[in-house]
Amino acid sequence: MDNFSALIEGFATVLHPMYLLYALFGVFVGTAVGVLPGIGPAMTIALLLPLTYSLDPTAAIIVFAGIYYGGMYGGSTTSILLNTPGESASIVTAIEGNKMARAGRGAAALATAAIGSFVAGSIATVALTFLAPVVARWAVQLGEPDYFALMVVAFVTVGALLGSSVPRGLASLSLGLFLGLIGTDTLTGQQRFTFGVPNLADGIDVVVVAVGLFAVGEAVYVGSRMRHGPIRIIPVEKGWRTWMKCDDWRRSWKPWLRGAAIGFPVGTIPAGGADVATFLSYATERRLAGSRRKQFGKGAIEGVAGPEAANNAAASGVLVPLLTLGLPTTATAAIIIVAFQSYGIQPGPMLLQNESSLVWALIASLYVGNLMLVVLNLPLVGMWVKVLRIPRHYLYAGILLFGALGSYALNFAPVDVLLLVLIGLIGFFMRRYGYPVAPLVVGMILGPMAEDRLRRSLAISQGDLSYLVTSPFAATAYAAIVVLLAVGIWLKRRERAEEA
Amino acid sequence: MTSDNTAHDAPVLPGGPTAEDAPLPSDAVEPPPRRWGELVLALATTALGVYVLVAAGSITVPGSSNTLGPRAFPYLVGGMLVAAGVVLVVLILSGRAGQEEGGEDVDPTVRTDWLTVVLLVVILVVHVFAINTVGWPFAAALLFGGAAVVLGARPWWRAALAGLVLGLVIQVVFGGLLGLSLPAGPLLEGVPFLRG
Amino acid sequence: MRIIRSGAAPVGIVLALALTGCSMLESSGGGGDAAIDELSIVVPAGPGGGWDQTGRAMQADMQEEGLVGSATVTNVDGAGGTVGLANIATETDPNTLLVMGLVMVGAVETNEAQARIEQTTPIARLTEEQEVIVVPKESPYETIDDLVDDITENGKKVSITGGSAGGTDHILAGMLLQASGMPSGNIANSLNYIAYSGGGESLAALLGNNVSAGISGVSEYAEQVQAGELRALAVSGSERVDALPDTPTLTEAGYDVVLTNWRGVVAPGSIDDAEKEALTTAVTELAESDAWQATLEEKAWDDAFLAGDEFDTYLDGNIAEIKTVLKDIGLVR
Repeated sequence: MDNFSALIEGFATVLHPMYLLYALFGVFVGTAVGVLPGIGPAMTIALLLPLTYSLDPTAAIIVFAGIYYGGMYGGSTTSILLNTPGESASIVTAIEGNKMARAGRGAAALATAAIGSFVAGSIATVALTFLAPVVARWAVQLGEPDYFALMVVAFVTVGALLGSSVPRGLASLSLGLFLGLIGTDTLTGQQRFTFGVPNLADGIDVVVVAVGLFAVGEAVYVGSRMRHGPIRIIPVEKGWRTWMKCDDWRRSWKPWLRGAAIGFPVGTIPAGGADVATFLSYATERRLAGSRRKQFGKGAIEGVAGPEAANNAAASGVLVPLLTLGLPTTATAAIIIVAFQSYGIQPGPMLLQNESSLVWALIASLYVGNLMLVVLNLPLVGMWVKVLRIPRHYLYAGILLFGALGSYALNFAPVDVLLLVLIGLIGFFMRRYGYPVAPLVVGMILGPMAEDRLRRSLAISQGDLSYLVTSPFAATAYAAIVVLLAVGIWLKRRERAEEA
Repeated sequence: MTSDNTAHDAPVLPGGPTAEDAPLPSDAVEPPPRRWGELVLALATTALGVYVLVAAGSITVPGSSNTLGPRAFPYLVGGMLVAAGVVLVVLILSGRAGQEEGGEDVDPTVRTDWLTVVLLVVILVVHVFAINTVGWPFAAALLFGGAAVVLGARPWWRAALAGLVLGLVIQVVFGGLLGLSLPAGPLLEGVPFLRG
Repeated sequence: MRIIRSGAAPVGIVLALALTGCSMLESSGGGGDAAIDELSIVVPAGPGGGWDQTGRAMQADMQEEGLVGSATVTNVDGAGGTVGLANIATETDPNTLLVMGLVMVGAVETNEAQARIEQTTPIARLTEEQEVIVVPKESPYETIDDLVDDITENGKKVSITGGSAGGTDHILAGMLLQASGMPSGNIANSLNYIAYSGGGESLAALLGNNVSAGISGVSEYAEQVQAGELRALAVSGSERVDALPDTPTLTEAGYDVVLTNWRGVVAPGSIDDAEKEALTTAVTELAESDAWQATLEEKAWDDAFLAGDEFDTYLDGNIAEIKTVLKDIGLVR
């Protein structure tokens, strides 16, 4: 109960009216900037860092907590409404969320994302409060083979994204893997497939690919077959009562909880952050959807609720190794360390002892920030969905503009925008000929991670393959895959036998 | 590895065909020209795979690595691309074409308007080169206004005006206030609050 | 506190951003008599990293001290800084500074970059950070000799982790083996370097005791050493560091290696002597200013100011030295 009393003290600090306003300020700025594709939470905090130098450390950290959560959430708004995911963790949200928005269910998608983020964020923050030291100890013991096993699990679940034509899905996945190869090989520092272009040496940013495929590809495709004549306006429901119908609540609450359960542990382990968690959550929801599985790909609310919850839970999970061990596991976490350092606070194993009151104030402000997010964003849902009523030509012109700005803002290099156009064209042709685009993005994210982990494992073991399966975590993961696949085949057999 | 035995349990995806929108097998009545485009795409996939396999051989392997080096994964990916491409070519030649994506903004009966596609791409490319010559706000106005007009916005000056306002607002908020390095361009060089 | 006073949140935000954030208001600050009216600082990396912090601190301090009329920071990210280097090589505005350092020296070689540091005009070295060699607390190695002996004997069975391949950490590992008397031809076959994209990731591998040893900047590992999670074997500078007073330098331990991760600034290659003089004066005044000293204190950067011909000589020697090490570890032919 020691933690509990410390947390109460943290709340006592944070609930000061002035600090509450700071929290609101942070959430507002975070959401506002996070809405732009290409500017994720990491860049938002980096940009606003100088702004907080004039504040006292507690106030600054409260603002950061707000920006952190706000930035995570802001990305999902544009994913749902405009199909322009701002960072890799909101790509999955775009898959179902944008379909929902197109069907006039944008408000429900935004609402389930907001409430789901709140629920999962709260659960994960509670977990952070009470489990942090234990979980961090466990997570840091995982080695390269364990991470590789996790990547294999993620790849197996990608099967869920391949679509109705397996060869087309595989072609798309392979193309994504190829795009992931472009750049400098982490392990040997050699450039691969960079065609001698220095801008490609760091690889292609996944945001450029996602925005290119989803947003630019779609805008061009729609442009090529624009409906002429009267345009059907997307219905926007009036009144907040209709945003989430009873059925939506019923279908959302379980994915929220499952998303939290998947997101928190995955965020905790130093394996690359929230995007893997969102893939796993999406695949889980699809598998458990039963009779509603047919709706996936056409706007299933479970496909928004689960991944959004997982995303926010992972965001809290990332703070576990950061606060207890001083380990930054994502770009955002690394920036938060820089922010801490600018106040003379060195995150590390001693942080909880040396700066106890500050850490608990931070955790308390996470609860507050989470609440602020819902308070701020639920009323805005009605305003956001009106974006969809903008005349079609302006809407798609705007999508192109924001996509281009997001890509340019990554490195301030016009080359990135040129790449965006090229990938947009690829997206256009893929759409035209029925190739699913989601596997491409997933392959591009997971491919490099899996390659690095496998090669590091084998470098450490000096080529001994048994090293890959001997650790308990990896062995369990592979066993689980085998069991799941076996059950899947068995179920399919039975289904077929019944049909016959 | 054929498409039909998975079709009943695999869900429909974004970018994937929407089976229920077209309950009748439309492949039979599909005009042949579209098969050519598909064939080209499948052949391009195969060609890319061959290229990856060939180019992988020229990646430098530093030191003497007795484990997986930087070439292993490129070989794997190249192989996958070739395999998927070949299977697709065979499928298409045997008459099983893919279905294009539907959508409520898309009119399935309209023929592809290639002029719009070309114009949109041209506008995007001009935007890229305009960023550093006339500055971001004007490049943005060009992109927004141009794209809107191509997509059917009338009158043209309203679209251009909207683009200019949008570009300047974004420049002030993200360049001036947040400090993003958006080049304001020679025309607005002296305006301090626009500078990143 | 003024952020909140205005009450209405959006207005307050805009005001707050306007008041504290950016360069827009600092056009005055006594810049009237400054020799350089508008200085443009190019950071060849994304926001948040070491180069970016250096560039932005320079911007703030030079404006505060009135050394320049105004200063802007531009981020040009990519390929270990060589994309930014290529930009500065063709830059014609004489009042431009590129933040760079040891990492760029290595990156130019490993990326076989077209633009080279020799094509720029060196101005000054500003800061440096020492490297530290650590082992997990469960490790059998007690001294740096134990580690080096084991590598000499068992070669690649000993894994050393650190930042990106060909970066400062990897270079130090190579220099250590060179200094131990290992023949150049054997180094590539004996050094099993497990590269991560950053110090934080390599830390996870060390804390989990999955690798034999690790190398990174002092600031990345110092906290863990103080907490007893890692054991520091040696630091890489000419003197011991304050954060780890009990850790010997490599020179003390008998290895003739001094390597620090230094950062500095260079100007376009096309500038004339007068323009070089003006930039050097401005940077020298910056380095001596109170504002800069306070920045060094706050960020815990070591002052490593070196300008003029001395920096030219240092840079040339550094480039030659790094090239041989990269050849020995097999990254450059």
